[in-house]
Amino acid sequence: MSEGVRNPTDLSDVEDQLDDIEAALVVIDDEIEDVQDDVTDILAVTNALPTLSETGGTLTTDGTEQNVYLNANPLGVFNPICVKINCTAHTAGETIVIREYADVAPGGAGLLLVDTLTYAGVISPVIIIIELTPNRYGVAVTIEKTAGTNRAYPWEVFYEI
Amino acid sequence: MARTFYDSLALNENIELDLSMLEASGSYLHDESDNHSMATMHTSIATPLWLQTSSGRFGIDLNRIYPLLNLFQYYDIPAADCTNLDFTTTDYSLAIWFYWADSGETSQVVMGKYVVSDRGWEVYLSEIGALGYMTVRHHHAAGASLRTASYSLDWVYNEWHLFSYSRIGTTGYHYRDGEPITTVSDVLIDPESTVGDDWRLGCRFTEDANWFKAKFHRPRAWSRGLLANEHRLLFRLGYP
Repeated sequence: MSEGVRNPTDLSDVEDQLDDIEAALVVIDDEIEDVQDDVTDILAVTNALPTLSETGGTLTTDGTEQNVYLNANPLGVFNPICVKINCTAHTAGETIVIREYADVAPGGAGLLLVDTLTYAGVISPVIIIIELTPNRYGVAVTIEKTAGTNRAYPWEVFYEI
Repeated sequence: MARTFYDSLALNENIELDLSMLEASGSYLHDESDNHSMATMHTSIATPLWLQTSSGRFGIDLNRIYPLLNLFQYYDIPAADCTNLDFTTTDYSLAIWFYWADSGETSQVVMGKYVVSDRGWEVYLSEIGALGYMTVRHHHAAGASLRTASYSLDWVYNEWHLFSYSRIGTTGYHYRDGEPITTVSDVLIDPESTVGDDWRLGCRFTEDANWFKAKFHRPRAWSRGLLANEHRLLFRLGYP
């Protein structure tokens, strides 16, 4: 007559160890959450680091005041650094007026004149550099051909944003 | 102060077009990639309608004013200024934030540099029944067929989404909001060169139909296949 299958092994040690592993997993899980919190914090900081960027193009004057560089409504504080304009095509008898504008208040008067520079005749050195300052509400640099033949002016702008 | 440099960011490796849309005014979109491929708006409606999104970034509301008529707004970059977008044998990637506004035209071209059934690549949205398709198509007159494509589904109206895409080898991979989505892809054939064709955003290559009726933000292109983690980063770096 069979008494059935019996397993005489005592599993209490294994069960204790499993409890220990479960407790350790909770601790590890908490630590991973802490690491993730740190990663999120680091990501927030690195995303806020300014990136030095550049763009540009070639603008052909038409006798009116034209935008060279315009950031009319920045996302927030940023650092426009300079605009460079290549005046190689500009010859004697021609005049251009470069103007810089800034907006210094929210919902206010908009872009207001900061500075005006007039270049008459041959420009040497051929690169004009307009230095800009930190900005929050808007900045623009324009060019106007006031005398002579319209020309193409390659330009670029650098900013940290 | 610590800073990073645009070209030292790994994501910007081989970037060929980046219309970051910082202008917030006017008809021009300037390119932050080193190609300086400036895009110009062409319009029969009105001046560009810039909009500020909930996160403060700027986009354009394209073809909004008369969305059901064939009055148009689109952007183009002249062929001579976008030769770097002449993707033929190489892998490439594309990205654009958009808010599909209207079904006024069954097929709407998001962007492309192509001639139908002849050469180049295009991205277009289409609605068939209740399904919104996003398709990236290659045109190749000399291929075994004239067109090969990949497409994804479930593109809906009135929501901002990031569409991004990698062509890697003979397969197209679509991503929505930085995550891979089911993509049905032909075995892609290399498109023929479009070195003499403009890049356009918002219309077909003939500039007379298939107007893109949507808000959009920051179209970009790379001459390499972005990896999945880079598509995810694209999304994390900027909800419009």
